[in-house]
Amino acid sequence: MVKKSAKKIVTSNEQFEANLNLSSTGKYLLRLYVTGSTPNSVRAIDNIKKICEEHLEGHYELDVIDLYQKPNLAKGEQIIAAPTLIKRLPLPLRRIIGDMSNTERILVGLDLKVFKP
Amino acid sequence: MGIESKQTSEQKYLAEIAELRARLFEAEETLQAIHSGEVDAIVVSHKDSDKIFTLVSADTPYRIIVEQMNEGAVTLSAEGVIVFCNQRFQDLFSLPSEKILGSYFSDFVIAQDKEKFDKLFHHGLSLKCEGEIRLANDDDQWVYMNLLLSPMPEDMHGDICILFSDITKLKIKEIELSLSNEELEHKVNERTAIIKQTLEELKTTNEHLAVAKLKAEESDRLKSSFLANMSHEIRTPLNGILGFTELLKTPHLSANSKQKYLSLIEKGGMRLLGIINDLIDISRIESGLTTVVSSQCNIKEQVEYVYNLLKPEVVRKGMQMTIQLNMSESESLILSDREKIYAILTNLVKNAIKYSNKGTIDIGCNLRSAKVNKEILFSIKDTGIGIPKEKQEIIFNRFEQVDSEHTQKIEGTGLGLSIAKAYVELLGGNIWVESEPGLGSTFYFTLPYTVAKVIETPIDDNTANEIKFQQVKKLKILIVEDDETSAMLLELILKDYCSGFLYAESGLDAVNIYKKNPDIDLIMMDLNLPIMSGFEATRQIRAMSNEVIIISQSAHIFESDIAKAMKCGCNGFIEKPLKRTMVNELLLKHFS
Repeated sequence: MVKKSAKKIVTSNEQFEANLNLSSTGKYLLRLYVTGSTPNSVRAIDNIKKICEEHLEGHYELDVIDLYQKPNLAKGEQIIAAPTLIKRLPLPLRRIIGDMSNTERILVGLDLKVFKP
Repeated sequence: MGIESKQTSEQKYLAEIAELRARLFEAEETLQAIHSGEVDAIVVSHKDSDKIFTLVSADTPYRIIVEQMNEGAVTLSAEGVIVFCNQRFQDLFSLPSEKILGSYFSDFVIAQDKEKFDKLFHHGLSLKCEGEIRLANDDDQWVYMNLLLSPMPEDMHGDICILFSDITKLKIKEIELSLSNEELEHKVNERTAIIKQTLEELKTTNEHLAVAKLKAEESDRLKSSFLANMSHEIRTPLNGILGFTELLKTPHLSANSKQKYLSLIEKGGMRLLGIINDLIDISRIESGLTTVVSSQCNIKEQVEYVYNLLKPEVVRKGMQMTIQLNMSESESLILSDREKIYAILTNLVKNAIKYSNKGTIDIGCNLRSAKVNKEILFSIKDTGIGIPKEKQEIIFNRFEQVDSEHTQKIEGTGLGLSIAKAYVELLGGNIWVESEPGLGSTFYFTLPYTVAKVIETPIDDNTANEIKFQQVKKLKILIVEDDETSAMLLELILKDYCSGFLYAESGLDAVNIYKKNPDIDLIMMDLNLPIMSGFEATRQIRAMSNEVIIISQSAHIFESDIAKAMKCGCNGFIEKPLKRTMVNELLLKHFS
């Protein structure tokens, strides 16, 4: 198998635009699963909000689901642990676990940045 | 397979690998996250639901809060057994957790509230609810609690969770407040009642004042009209007196005329005296100074006296008068006030004469048995002008006369009937009238029939006595009088009995003169004197001699004065205006 060389780092904006063209609604649909006000949950909510405001302003919808209140919603998206962020749109479906403090990782996960191994 | 399909397969494999890589990455990441404590909870799958298992580290804040908070927290099973309790709950009951866990929560509820809690509990198993329950701790002290119940999700450790906050202090304050409010309301009601009462009293006072004002105004009006009336009544006879006195000065007057004028002057004087006596009587009655002087009264004699006294006038008017008496001599003796009876009879008969011009006046006097006691019923019937129904009560009031446009003004003060009424009532009787205008009137009055127990010698006999010269020796008389006219009058009356007169104008004078002339037989002592009163002078002279006769005289006629004079040492008392007959009697009494 030919190992592909590192891809070019594309600017967030361009990538962003490109991604947007792919999604039907023209928005990012994100869902964050947390457990009440546990420490990581609190941090996750805080961090993801910041990231969205900074990188996706006006083009995202963020739902915060409290598994303590609605544990039944975990099954649908096969949530294993909390906090978990699910990118529902644009496809493909991505999941990110943790307190969302690694911004770079998040951006890669949201396909806003290319993964640098 | 062509190159294209080979290329497609290659791409397919590459895509698959990329996908697998991504998935692997995610799985590694998940494990990593769990391992590094970046997750707070794990989702554990159960048949139809998922359970969230929180890692202990994430749990801590919740724990701390639950243990630190002021509210007690317990979770109970569906049967009501305590499966979890926080520190506060333990502290409340001063029991360690092992004593609490496993027991029924209702054990801590007071007996009176068990039923209420039961209802609340069953409600709370399905729906969040709230209620106030009293719990009892180990010392059986009650605590007021506000309970917040909420059902727990299924398959939890416990089916219902209860939070409770201590509201004992609140409840106490509530009770205190309500008591305080009650007290306040009570006070307000009291005050309101007082205010209402005061208002009522004020209202009543105002009404009374209004009535009093009307009365005062009426009284004022009556007084003014009375004054006008009196003025007229006094001036009229005075006019006669002064007028004819002046005429007497006419030179060369015939003896006949002189006699005529003199008799008119006397008549005027008598009339004036009558008016003044009436005025004094009514004023004494008004000020409550009139008293009943009880003595033996011979009713038959008294009625006959009045008849005789007034018969001449009746005859002069061309009328008749009769008496009808059914009492025997012995039955006629009663205990009552003689003077007052005279006054009543005289008043009524005079009225009968005054208000009639023809016919007969019938005086009736009958002993009869009334409801309770025996009484004497007097009646004075005339055939005069009569009294209309509406006036039959008011004529007994002061100053009122039956006065209409049809009759001429009748002379008189209008006081007679009110004096008569006051006297009748003072003696314990009743007075009333039956009348028909144009036909005549009958005045009735009753007196209680009290038989005289003690026979007293009458003080003063009103019958005239002729003086027998021979019985009275010539006396040395001292006249104590500060009024020149009165002194002159006295001298003229006494001059036939006197060997010599001495005069004093003051009490002091009198004492000094007596000292120099201890052979004085009689002192006529006026009580109203300057420098030293007649009372004092009498005392001093009496101290010097027990034999000298002192007769006090005064224009005052109060019984208290008479008593006082006698106490000072007087032998007798006569009232002004003096009459020759009175003086004569007195002399006869003391010097015969």
